[in-house]
Amino acid sequence: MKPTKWLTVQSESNPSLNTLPNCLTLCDLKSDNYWKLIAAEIPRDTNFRPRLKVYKGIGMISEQGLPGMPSAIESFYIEEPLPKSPIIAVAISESIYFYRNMKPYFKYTIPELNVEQLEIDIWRKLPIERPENQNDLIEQLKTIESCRLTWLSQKLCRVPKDERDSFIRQHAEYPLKRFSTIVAMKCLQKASSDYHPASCLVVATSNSDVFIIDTQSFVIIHQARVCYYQTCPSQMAVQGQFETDFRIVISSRHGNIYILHKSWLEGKEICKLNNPPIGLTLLPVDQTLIVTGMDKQLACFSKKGKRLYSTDLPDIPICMTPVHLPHFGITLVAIGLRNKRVVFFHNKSQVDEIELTEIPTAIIFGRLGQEDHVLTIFTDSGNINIKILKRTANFEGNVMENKFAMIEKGKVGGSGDNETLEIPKKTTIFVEQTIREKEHAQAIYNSFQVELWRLRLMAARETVEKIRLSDSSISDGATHAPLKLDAEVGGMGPQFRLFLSITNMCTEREISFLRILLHADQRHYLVNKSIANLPVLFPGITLKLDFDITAVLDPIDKLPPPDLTAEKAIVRVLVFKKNHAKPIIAASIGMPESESPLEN
Amino acid sequence: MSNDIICNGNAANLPSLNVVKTPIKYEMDPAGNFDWLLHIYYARQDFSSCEALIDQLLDTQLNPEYLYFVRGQIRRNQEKYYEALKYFQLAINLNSKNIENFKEIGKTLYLMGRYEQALEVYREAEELSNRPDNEIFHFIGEILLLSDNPNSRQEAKQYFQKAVEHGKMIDSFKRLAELHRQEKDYSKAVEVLEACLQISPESTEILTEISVLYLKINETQKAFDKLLNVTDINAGCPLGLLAFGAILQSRGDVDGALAKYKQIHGCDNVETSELWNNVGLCFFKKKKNFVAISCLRKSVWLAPLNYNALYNMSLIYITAKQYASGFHTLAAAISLRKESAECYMLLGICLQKLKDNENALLAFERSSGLVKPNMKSPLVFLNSAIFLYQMGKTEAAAVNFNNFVEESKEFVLSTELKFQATKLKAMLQQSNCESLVESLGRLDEENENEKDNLPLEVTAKVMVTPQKLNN
Repeated sequence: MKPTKWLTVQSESNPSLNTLPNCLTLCDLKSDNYWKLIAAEIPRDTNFRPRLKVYKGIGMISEQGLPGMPSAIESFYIEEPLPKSPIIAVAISESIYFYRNMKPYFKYTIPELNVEQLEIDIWRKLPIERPENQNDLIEQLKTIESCRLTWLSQKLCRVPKDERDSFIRQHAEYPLKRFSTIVAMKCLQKASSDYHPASCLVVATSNSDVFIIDTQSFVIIHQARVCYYQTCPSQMAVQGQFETDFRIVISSRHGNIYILHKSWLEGKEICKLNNPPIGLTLLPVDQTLIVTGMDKQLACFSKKGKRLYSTDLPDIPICMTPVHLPHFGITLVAIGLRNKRVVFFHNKSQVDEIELTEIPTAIIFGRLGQEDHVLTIFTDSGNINIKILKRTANFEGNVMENKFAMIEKGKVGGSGDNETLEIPKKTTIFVEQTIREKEHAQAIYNSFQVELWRLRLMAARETVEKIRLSDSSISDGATHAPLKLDAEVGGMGPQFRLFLSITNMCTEREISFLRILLHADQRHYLVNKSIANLPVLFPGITLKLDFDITAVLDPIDKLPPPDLTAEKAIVRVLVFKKNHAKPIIAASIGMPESESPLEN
Repeated sequence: MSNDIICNGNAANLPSLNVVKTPIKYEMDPAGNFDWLLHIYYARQDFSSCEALIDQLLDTQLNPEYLYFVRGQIRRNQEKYYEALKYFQLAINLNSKNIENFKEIGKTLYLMGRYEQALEVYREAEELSNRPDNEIFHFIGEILLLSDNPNSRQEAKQYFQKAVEHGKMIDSFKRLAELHRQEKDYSKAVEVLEACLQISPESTEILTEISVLYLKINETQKAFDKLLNVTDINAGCPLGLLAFGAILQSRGDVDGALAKYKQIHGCDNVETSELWNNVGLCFFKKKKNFVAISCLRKSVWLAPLNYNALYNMSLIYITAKQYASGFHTLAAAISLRKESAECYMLLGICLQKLKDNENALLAFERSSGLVKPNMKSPLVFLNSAIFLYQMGKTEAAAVNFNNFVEESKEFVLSTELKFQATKLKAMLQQSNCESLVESLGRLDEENENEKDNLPLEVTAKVMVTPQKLNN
């Protein structure tokens, strides 16, 4: 048991808060140097009202309802004389609500989107049209993709036919407006200053716009597109200062990753993951980008999209947060996993691990209370776990230690010293055989050869016997004509089909006046057509024929007659020439056992 | 307004401060869109939450396109392909311009094994797409590869080429390299993989593959460097280790090679015929014939149709004087490759030892008959010459010897070989002396030679494995 690096804060209350990593922020709310945790609750049921909660330590000190489902919250400072007090921004749908001292004071709404001209025209016509003509207009409305319509039209398309008229009258004067949803929001410092620097907000919308919003004048100070084509962002990470240089990295719902630099009007796609990421972070040191996604991998990309390294995670990642440790000069990544663990990675090696009793759903690292390095973990049942990093904790030595631990687990291949090849065991019989063979190789070989010749002799004898009985599939060409007969039986029974192919093996002579006769015991098999005249067979040509054969089954118990044994289950095929008594080929075809007939 | 302030008797309005006076009234935005929340749950693979959220939203959310999309993806994950298709189709009905919907349908059809339909959908998506989408290109290529038609193979190649140009999907690079390799265009394949390494420098799979290709074009040093890289990144990559071991082995570092093979054995229980073949050869080099034979037997047992393993095994049998077993193994090897001169040569030696001179003669004749001008196998002639000489057929021996001299011109012969050759020459001139010693020495020398090029052949085998996996 290795000593843990974290002190656990005992929690006795049950706060029960369901939240997301983007809906957590830490700030010095009361300017009393005692940092609070602010979390937006995401109710499991969308009919419940989301709430904004403030925690001091593990106890909730205030709570208020929100006007909608928050997609992100952020805390920051603005330019004002000291003492500064932090501002909380909550992104809900198309608006951002600004709170100071936990009191809302401004609602900012992002610019509306263009409404399709066709839609405007239709809405101009709708209130004055007769109800019977409205349907055509609505059908026209439906030709526009649903996502490009205003909510009013979307709703109209879903309203039942008989209520449409009243709906249209009711909303005739309603302004047509279309908004995108804010899907991610981060703050970006304006300039690096010593104490509580002022920040602006970076906002990504579902319409793949990126806005940088000044938090005092509430104007857009920079606007860009995520990419040249339409995409939908999901995660965002920001690094740098607005006035000097900054980078915004955005991942889309389909796993594309885009980067946006200062003064760019359009982002650039740097890579595409096979699965959408759950976490995205920019490392401050070498400007690399870390993502984890559904494929249980932690991958690091350069700004140009080069996959620098990737490592496998033990389970499905749920949430991720960067862990800045300036006193070590490193940034770790903490990842909450499905297997109730939080793992810490430094580059690609795992340096620490915290075991929990529940699945972590949201984690945040930073200053909390009066401690600088606190990891706050929310679990799926809503409990808060607070872990304080010990001042003595050191992650440097741990990398090695962990590597060894992984070797023990067999994750990394062994060093080779303690591994042995399992060379096949040598039994005494094997050894004796070898020795005998060395001494008597010639005798063994000779007896093998003798046996081989004996086998060949037997085969030859059998062949001669078969030829004598003309019971073979190839006729001897000396007397009549060289013919080859292949037979194949198809079907499960009781109906079978016998496929025959007859080839003239002769190189120059054609064969004519051939007849084929099928012969079978009447008690066992019925042959529809038992004799057939064959056309002239030209050299090398294969003639294909098929015959229907029905197995006789007992009408009562659907079983073949009892005297039908495997030896007797044959159909003889005879090929002969007209006016010749001796067949050219006679073949016996073993019939498979018949299944009982299918019941329709 | 109640905020009016009385100043000197006049009512003055305060400048509007945009102050929200009353607490914001709670009302669900009619256009409230929870796609982002759904996406977070989906990315976490918390499918039960997704389903619950979709159920809640289907009635209220005005544009349920993404809801259908996610539900389709979840259903596909659960292998309910028909339902998945249904939901993707619903999403398309709402937005027929979203390529992603088409792509997912294509992917689902592909998983269902309906390649023709999937191809159609992807082609449609390609037409609809307003940008070159490498994923579409990749999948079209992937489906075209499944077809037997040689033309579609070329088309697939073009699509992979396009995918590589427009995106950074590692699989596309791999497929393209594979196609180049199958066309024996190794330098092109290397080029493609090097480009891929630019994107993903630490991919062990690519590194292994590229090193195998380097071996093919005889750039052993480059292959070695890449493999060193592989084992650096992931000490437990079986293919990398096998190839690495094979290179060490071909350089004569048997212990190093064995250490690598041990590591393969350590990382997980990969039992391959190639591994045991190489291990067997290592022990053979160490003159531990007994162990070598048991290793090779295991190799042959794992893959009875592995020609290289059979050949190596027969070689060791002959060295270990187990001629009867050697004969059988050779028979098996010859039935796999009827055109191998070396095999017949070994068979000749074997039969000679078994005192079946008639057949030995036939085998030697066949072997020297099979030698093609560019095969560079002087050994076949030398062995034939020695045998013929022993049989007393001096003239035929002399012909073979001359052939040997001809063939071996370009080679730096080992001392052993030179010694045997000069000895034979002398004896052919005397043409009355008998030597039994030389045939023994001859065998040893020949083993040396074989072993030098075998590991390389073995690495060629290594490649077979990834190919199988891909198909």
